[in-house]
Amino acid sequence: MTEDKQNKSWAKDIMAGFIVSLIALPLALGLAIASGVPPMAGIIASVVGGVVVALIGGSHVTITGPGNGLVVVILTTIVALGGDNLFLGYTYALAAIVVSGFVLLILGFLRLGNLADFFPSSTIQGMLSAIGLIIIAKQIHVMLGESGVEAANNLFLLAEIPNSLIRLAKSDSIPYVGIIGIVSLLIMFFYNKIPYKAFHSVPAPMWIVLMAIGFYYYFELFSDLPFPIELESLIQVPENISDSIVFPDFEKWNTSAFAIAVISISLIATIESLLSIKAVDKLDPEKRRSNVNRDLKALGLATIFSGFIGGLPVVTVIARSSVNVNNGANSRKANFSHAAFVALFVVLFSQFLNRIPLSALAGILVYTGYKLASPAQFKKMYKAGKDQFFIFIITLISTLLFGLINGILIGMVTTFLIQLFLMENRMEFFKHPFRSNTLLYEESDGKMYLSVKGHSSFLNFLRLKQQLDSVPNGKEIILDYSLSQFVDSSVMEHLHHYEEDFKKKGGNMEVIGLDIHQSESSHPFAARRMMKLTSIIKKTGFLTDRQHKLKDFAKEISWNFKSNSVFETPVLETFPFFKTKTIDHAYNVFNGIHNGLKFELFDVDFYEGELIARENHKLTMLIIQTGKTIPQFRLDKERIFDRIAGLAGFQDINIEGYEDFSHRFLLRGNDEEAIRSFFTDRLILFFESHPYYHVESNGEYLLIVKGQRLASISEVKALAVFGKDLVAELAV
Amino acid sequence: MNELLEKVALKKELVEIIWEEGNPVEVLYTVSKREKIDMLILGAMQNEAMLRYYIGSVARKISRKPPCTLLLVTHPSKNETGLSSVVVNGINHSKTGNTIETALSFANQFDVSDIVIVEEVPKKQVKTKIDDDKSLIKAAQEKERVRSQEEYRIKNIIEKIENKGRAHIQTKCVFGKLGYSIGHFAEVKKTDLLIMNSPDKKLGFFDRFFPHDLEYILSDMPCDLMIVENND
Repeated sequence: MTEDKQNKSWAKDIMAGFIVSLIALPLALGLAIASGVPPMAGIIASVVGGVVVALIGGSHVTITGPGNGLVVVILTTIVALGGDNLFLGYTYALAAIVVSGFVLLILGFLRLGNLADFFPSSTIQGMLSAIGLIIIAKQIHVMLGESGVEAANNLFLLAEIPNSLIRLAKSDSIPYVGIIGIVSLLIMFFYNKIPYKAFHSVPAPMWIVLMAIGFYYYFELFSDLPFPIELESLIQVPENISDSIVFPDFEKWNTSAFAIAVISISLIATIESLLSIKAVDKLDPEKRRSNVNRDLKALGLATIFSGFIGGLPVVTVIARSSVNVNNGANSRKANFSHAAFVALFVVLFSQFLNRIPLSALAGILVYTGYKLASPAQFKKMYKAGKDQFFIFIITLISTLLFGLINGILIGMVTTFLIQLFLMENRMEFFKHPFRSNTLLYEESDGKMYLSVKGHSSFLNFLRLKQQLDSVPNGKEIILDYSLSQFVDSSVMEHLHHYEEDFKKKGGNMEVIGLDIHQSESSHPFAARRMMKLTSIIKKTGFLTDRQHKLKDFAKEISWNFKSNSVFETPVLETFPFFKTKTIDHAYNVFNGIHNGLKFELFDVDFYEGELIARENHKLTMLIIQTGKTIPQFRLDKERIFDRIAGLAGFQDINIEGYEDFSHRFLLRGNDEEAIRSFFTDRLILFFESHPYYHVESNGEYLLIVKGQRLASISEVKALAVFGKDLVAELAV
Repeated sequence: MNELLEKVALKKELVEIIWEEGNPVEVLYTVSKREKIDMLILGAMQNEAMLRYYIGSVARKISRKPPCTLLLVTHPSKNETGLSSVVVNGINHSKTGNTIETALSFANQFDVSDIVIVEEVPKKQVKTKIDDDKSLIKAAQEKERVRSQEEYRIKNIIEKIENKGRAHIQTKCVFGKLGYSIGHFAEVKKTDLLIMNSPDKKLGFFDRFFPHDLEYILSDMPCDLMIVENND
């Protein structure tokens, strides 16, 4: 990098950090208040988090600070440990935060940065939506100016919302606090809809802060009336910043409530951070891969420091990070500068901060809760299939009623039971979750080949992930599911993200062998299980990604494409290839006419042997009508096809003058003379100059097969082109 | 018994039938030791039911500590058509050389056209842990280095063998769990016969719960299995 460019990126990072700090400041205050701790606790987490993670973290454009997922955990912890004495509860909670920091540090050292991928995605979505609802339930009353609303559980608290609204409407004096809260919420909602560019130069939360402070100074400077909001409804930041430093109290360390608190904080902090890091990596314009384990260690250390001086746990946060990226951040310096600006604001403007009503911040928080539990989120889950929606709702409700840990546990058990219910061979399922089921190797043409056997679900996804992560950037990878009976929707979703990632880094990933797996919905992430033969005939099913692409390709070359099974393949059985094999069914069939000759390209399932000795094969093939009688022959290089027993007596026919051709290809057939005259100079040159295929003729049709597995899209295309070229060659 | 022999048209003079009473595993074991048998051929199920697997059938019991070279036949009907492709283990172990030699001479006699020697490399052998782009590149380089070392080692073994036969020999380096990967590979490649080293020590009950090496293959046999035991 040149010096000029370096300076520019410095400037960009500082600018991005500045804009993020405008959002981070009000959020830090709000999240702290919502968590039931002094507002400065959020500021401490922001500043410590930004500095520590920027210095030693392993990600690039993330922003760290207090996170919304932890609001609920901290609030519960304070009540559970401190009882009625909130300040005492706060010091106990700080101890739990410090210990959870150590837990994160250990997770980082144990290289468990892939932990977040273990939880089924519907469960995580359910938990996040529940957190969103809890934040709304607690904060909406504060927003409306009704402090002290309490209910037995979070569901009842939500049910109290109309009451708070009625009280607001019936109040005798002008309810300034409630109005400010509602206006803040409206600003959050409609910020993006306001078309003025100048308005967008300041982020929405900052507008709210400015509005609230402006409201105060209107009364102070222009109005004769006293300021209408009581002190209790305003933020209280100590004048002397050192007063806000509080030390943890480890007295309760041996209680079970403390242990639960540590586990909850660590779990949520880890999940929230890891999910955010993964999401931010997708936004990174330079497509870098974050070192999640290193980031975990940094977050753990930051949380320890933060907890020791009275701050909230430090996590990676997605919303602030995406603002960071959108404003041109390029390195961890942006995170550092965000922390520096937050610190600067607090030092310089602490007296202004004391003028902000709590309801204004509550408005911001209700909006963040709404983002987590928005109707769009519910709709998305509903579209993912009935089973996934059910898991989502179960997790959501049990999290609301029984807390986070129980919620996520219930969600996971539900997922597991539903998968068991969907499966056909249940014993097989118990055999596989805890043992290897993946094989990765490099094929001779340099492509990576990854085969997955048995059941592929959230339980054993981490192993598959490890294999996928070890594929070098820019490689082409083929993921073969033809030996697998069941793929769950978490895995499908992860694979979808991997496909994007590989593409972004100049490689390619293709999933094959899923086309005859059935799914419950058309959603691309729907779980897929192997169909019974009977259901294949009846049902066309929902197309897989591969089938969609095949369909597009068929359209491109104006052939017909049918995804469902076709049994009438009488031509196939006449080929020597199928002499010892029984054809199960052909599917994904392309029909087309090229140069007046029929083409048929398809995937075919066939088997050799019977019962226990039965061996299933899946291949992609092309059949071409030749339009004239040609000698029967077989031409191949792939020695694996030698096993065809019916041709045991066939000899390799060498054609003189073509040593290279004779050396590289095995040409066999009964009628040697006819074959010799059929293989003209042109034809030999054609085969020599094209990639290897297994080609055989039954006299009227040609059968062309590539490799020993189903073809990827690019291979299907190459096969079709090869067929067309061959026909053109034969026509001469 | 004689009828059976006639059916498969074996010459009677070549066959010696021994009847002995006792526990089948023990009898097979002692007889093969006593008669200095070269190869013991057993029929076996491809998969065994859960309980059976943990208790063990005759075939599995013997294969956990074979007295001599052992051929487990799971796909009897297939062998009528002859063997065409064979996968041999090529792990870095003192027994491997002998196994490959046996495999090659066996392949030659049965007119096998294709032999793939699979070098399984445990993941631990690649020291670099993949965390980010930099370590990914480093790990890929390390794997490449290990791969060429492995290929060189196998090449040396093959060169020392005098009678290589006519089969086409390929090598494949696979990074993964020992024993598991080669079984999965044989399944993917629809191999006819898998040839493995004999286990170093008797595989016990616990190995079935925490499978490793050969135990992976025994729990789910992808094809016929030959376990080469060197008795010299």
